[in-house]
Amino acid sequence: MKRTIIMNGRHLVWGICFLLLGASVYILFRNPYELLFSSWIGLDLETTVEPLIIAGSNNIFVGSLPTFFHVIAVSYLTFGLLNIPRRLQLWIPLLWFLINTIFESFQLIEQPWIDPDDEVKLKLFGWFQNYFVSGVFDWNDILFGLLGALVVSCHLIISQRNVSEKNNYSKHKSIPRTLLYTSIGIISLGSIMGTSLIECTHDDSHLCYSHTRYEPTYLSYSELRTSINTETDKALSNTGKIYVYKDYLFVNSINNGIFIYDNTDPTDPMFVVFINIPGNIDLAIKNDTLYVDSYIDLVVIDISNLQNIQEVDRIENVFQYDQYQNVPHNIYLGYVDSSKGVVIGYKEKQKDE
Amino acid sequence: MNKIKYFLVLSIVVLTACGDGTGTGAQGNANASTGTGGSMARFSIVDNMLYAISENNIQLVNIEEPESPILWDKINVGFGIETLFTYDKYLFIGSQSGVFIYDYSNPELPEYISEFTHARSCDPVVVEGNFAFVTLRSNSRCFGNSNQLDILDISDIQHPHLVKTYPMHEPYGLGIVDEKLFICDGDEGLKVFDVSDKESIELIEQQVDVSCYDVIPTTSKLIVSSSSGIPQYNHQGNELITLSEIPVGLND
Repeated sequence: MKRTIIMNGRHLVWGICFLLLGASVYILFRNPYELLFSSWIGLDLETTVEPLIIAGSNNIFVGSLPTFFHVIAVSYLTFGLLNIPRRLQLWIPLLWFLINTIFESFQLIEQPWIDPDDEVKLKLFGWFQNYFVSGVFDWNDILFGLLGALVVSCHLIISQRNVSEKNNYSKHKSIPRTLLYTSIGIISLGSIMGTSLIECTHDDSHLCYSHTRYEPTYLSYSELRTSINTETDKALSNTGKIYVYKDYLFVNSINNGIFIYDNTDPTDPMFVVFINIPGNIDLAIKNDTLYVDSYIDLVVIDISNLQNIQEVDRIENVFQYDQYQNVPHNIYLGYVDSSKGVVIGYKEKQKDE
Repeated sequence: MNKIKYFLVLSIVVLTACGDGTGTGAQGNANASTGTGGSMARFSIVDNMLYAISENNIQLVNIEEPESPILWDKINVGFGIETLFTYDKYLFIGSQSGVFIYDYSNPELPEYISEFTHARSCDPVVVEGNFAFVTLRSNSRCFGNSNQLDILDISDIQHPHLVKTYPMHEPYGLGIVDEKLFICDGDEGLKVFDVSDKESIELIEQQVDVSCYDVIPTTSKLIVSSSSGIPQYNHQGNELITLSEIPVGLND
C-alpha cells in the first residue's frame, strides 16, 4: 500500500468544509479581519473590508457559531491527517473541545502582559495577547464547542457501527454527498441566522449594529488645531462634566467645549463665556491655567483674563484616536481613514458609492 | 522673578496640602490653586502633576511650567479605567473591573497599593474617612449586569474589603460630604442617602425629575450636571432646596 500524508480524504474534506463554514460566519456577519489567517497570508483586511451582512457580534449565533464549527473542523482535520486508532477516535473531539475551552478561558485575562517596548515578544505572542485581552469570555462559546464535540462523537459512533455492519454503501459517493450536504447546510444556517438577525434592526439596541451603512465625517487635524475660540452668546447644551474653580463654575458641553459661569451668587449664576473646544470631555484647572482634552490633543488655555481667553500650548496625540468618541457605538462606521482627521460624526452612506 | 512666584505658589500648595491631612471629601480642592471636579472626572491635578486617563493608562503631565507642560510618565493601570478621585494621599481609580488604589505621596511616581475587583461595569468612586463608595452601572457601553452601590472599608488601605452592597437603578456620578451621599441614579433621579450607618444607609431625599450625570457637593451646597441643565441646591437639613438652575437651550 502507498503511504500518503492524507490518511482519510473524506474526513479531510469535511474538516475543510467546516473550516470554511466557520470563516463564512466571520465574512458574512462579523468583521472579516477577525479571521486569524487573513493576517498570516498578508491580507490587511482590517481597514478595507466590512462584513457582508452587518450584525452585532453579541448575537448568540454570530458570536458562538465559529466555535461550534471550529471544534468539528479541527476534529475531522485530525482524523484526515493523522491515523488515529479507532479506540482513540472518540477522544479527539473531546480534546479539541478542551483546547477551545482553555483558549476561551484565557479571554478572562483583561490586562496586556507584554511590555509594549518588547518588540520580539509582541511579534511572537502579540496575536495571543490581542486575542485574550480583546476577546470576551462567553459561556455560549463553551456550550457551542461542546455541541460541536457531541456532533462529531455522534457521527463517529454511528459510522463505526455502520462500518462494523459492513455497510460500505456510501464509500465512493461520500465526497459529492458531503459537498451537497455542506451547501444545504450553509444555505439553511444562513437563512436561520438571517431571520434571527432581522429582529436586530433597532438602532438603540447594543446587541445589533444598524443595517444602514454609514460613513464617518472628519475634522481635519489642521482645523482641529486652530479651532479654539470663544463665544459670548451660546446656549448650554449636552451637559457633561462640571468643575468648580474659585467662584466660577465650568460646565463641559460634551464634545463641544466649556461654558463658564460666575457662580459668586449660587442663586443667580451668570454666564460669562463659552470656549469652543472640539472633542472636549474633561478639564482641570490650576493657577488660572485650564487643561483640556480636544479629541487626541491636550490643550493648555490661559484663563487669567476671561475676556481674553487664549490657547497657550498644545501637546498633540496624547489621547487615543477614538473614532467612536462622537458616534454611537451601534453605528458601524466601516472604513475610517485616520489621515483625514478625527471622526466628529457620521452620515448615511449613499447607495451608489 | 517668575521662578520666585512659582516657588511661592509651590510652597503654598505644599503647605495647604500638608495642613489637610484628613482630606476634604471633594476632589482636588486640597489646595486653593486647583479646582474641584466631580466623580466622573478623568483629569486630576496633584501638585505639579496632571493625571489624565488615556485608554488603559494614566498619562502624567508635568505642569511645573503651567503654560508649557511636559509629557511625563505613563502608568499602565488596567482594562477600561474610567475615573480618578484623589483623597488624602491616595488616588482612587475607577475601572470596568474594579477600584485601583495608588499612593501619590510622590506625585511624579504614584505607587500601586491595592485593588478591589468586581464584576465588569462602569464605576466612579468617591471616598470619605475610612470608606470608599463605588457605584457599578451596566448599560449598552458598560458590560455586566449589576447596578449597585458598594461600600468598601479602606481603613486598611492594603486590603480594602466590602462592607455592604445596595441595589441601585442605573447609577452615574456620586458625591459625599459629611456622611451625606448624593447619587445620580438614572431614571430614578437624584438620591440623597444618610450613610452614617454603613450597614444600613437611609434614603433621605429623592428628586425623580432630575436626570443627573454628576454632582459636586460642598458642605452646604450641591451642584448637579443634568441633561436639562445645571441645578444648584442647598442640602443642609434633610431636603434639597433649589437655589437656581442654568437651563440648557437658553441664552443667559
